[in-house]
Amino acid sequence: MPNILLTQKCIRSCPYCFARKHMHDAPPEDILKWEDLIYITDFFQAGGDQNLSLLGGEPFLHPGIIDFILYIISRGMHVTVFTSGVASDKIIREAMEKLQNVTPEQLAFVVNLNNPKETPYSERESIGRFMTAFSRFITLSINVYKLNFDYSFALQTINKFGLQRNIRLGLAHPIPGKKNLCIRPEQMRQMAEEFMAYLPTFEAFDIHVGFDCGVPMCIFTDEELGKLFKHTFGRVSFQCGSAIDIGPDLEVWPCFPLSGYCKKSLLEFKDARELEEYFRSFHRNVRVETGGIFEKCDSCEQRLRGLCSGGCLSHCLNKFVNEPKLRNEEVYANTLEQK
Amino acid sequence: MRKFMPTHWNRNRHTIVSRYDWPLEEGLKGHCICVLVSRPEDIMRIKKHLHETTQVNGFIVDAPEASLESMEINPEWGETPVVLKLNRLGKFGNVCDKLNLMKRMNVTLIFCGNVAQNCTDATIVASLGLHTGIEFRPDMELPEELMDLVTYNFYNRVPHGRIEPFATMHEEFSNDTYVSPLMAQLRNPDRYIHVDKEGRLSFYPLREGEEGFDRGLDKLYEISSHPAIEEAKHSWQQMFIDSHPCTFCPAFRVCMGFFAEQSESGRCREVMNEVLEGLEFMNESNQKKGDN
Repeated sequence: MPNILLTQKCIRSCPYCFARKHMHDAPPEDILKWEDLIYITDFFQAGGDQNLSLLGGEPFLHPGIIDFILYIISRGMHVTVFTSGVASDKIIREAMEKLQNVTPEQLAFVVNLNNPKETPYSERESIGRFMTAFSRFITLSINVYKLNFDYSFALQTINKFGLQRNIRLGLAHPIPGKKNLCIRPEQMRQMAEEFMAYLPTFEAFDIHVGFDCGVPMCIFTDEELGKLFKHTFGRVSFQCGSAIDIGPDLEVWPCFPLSGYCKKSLLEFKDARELEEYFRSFHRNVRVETGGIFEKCDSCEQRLRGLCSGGCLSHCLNKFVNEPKLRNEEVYANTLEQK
Repeated sequence: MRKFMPTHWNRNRHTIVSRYDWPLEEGLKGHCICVLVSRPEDIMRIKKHLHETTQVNGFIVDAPEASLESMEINPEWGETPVVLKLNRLGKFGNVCDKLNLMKRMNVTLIFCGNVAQNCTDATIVASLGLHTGIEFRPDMELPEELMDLVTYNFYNRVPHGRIEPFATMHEEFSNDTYVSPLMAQLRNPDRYIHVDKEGRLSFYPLREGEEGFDRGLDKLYEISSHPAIEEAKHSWQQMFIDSHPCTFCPAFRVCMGFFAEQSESGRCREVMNEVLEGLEFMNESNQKKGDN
């Protein structure tokens, strides 16, 4: 499912932000143009995709976001908008008016929520207005970036605003060579224990948690895996694949933490299959050098069977940042761009 | 069986382009017509008035200052071909429902405002599967967006709606024919005769004081054999006799001197050559499909 960046501006500064490097390097005035949206939609629809994701920066900073959502829906595709929920009253009013005939089968908002205790008052107010207006479309997303993470705010928010009873739980990933907050490999088992301890509370409120990419399987015990299997109706996944992010200038990269690695222009690919294969081959070449985030990943049966990818690729790449360049050139940042 | 033949039956292959003014109503009976109107509300009124032997090829709503936002789309038009000549599309969020309604109708949107904006508008509309286009004018700017539209029309592999004038040009284009963007604007001596309420006959809309090639509604019944048609069809040959600079341009085959006013700047050569290549590419593709 491709992610389209409408703008590279963001109004928040999350401590774990793994898009920071990309945002820092990108010109903030770049916003997606109509011609490029049509090109992207054609490109992926021809490849069989039925869903496009819009994100940023903050996508609601793009003046044409409502038009873009309606356009993609008119093309018969589903739209997922990843947002902080911080949007002006004017935009919210316009969106409420224009999206009144749109159904949750056509549109979803994934609101990335930080702990309200660590969020400024004005932001909280704005997010509250957004959630009140669009509760039927909203799935909550939280990023765990430290141990002793407080999950209760997610539960309270879902109950307060009547949101969809699902949570998308992501781990904050490192930007290779940078210092953003994230759960380091040696902390993952403890994070898993803390999460499993809170899981019964989510279940008591009929809230279902699904993992975002890059969670390794072995941080859970077999008993915990059984519980997760039941909790997610068998859909629990431990994969790390290419999300395919597309910038407003049609640059593509495999996902935000890896934005420094194999950027290319979408125009260089003849179809979606070729693009996917390009990033798949990048993943393969890195995994040749190191199986996963733990030493044991190299010979792990679950990884070799394809049940687990061995954690997020950015952790793997982080291992090579300070070493002499002796490995596959893909594992070093920007080597392909320099070529 | 003779008695069941319509009184106004005729053997013309031409379509009559005209406003539906009352002095003309009688003279248009039995013809195939394209009706020019200024307001979309007139379409249903005229449809009710039409004589049973008059066949309407389409209504053309000429609203060069309006956007689709301000235009009422009447679902009662149904399958009736309607061409809306508009300044621009407007904000997508405000016209989205109209565009979705138009998918079930037979409406064509032709844009005649700012060329760069119109190219974007036409791409949006065509990508939704609707028939659209931009109006070419001899003095129009030829921005990069127009090149993008040409590329989108000829080379995009995802199916999209027809885009004028390229779609009409493609229909008429072959290895031994000359075509022009004018053909998409009902200016083709082989197909269209323009008539006004004074009965002037011409191959294009006449301005005040201009004379057509003939006069009189009664002439319409034999119009397809009028000698002026053959003359007009070959008028482009005069440009060769005059050694006009346009005749040295390879794209003359798809332009016929349409952009003669701006031929010195050279931009039209670049754009129309791209159109020519696109048309040849389409013909080759169709040929291959036929061979397979």
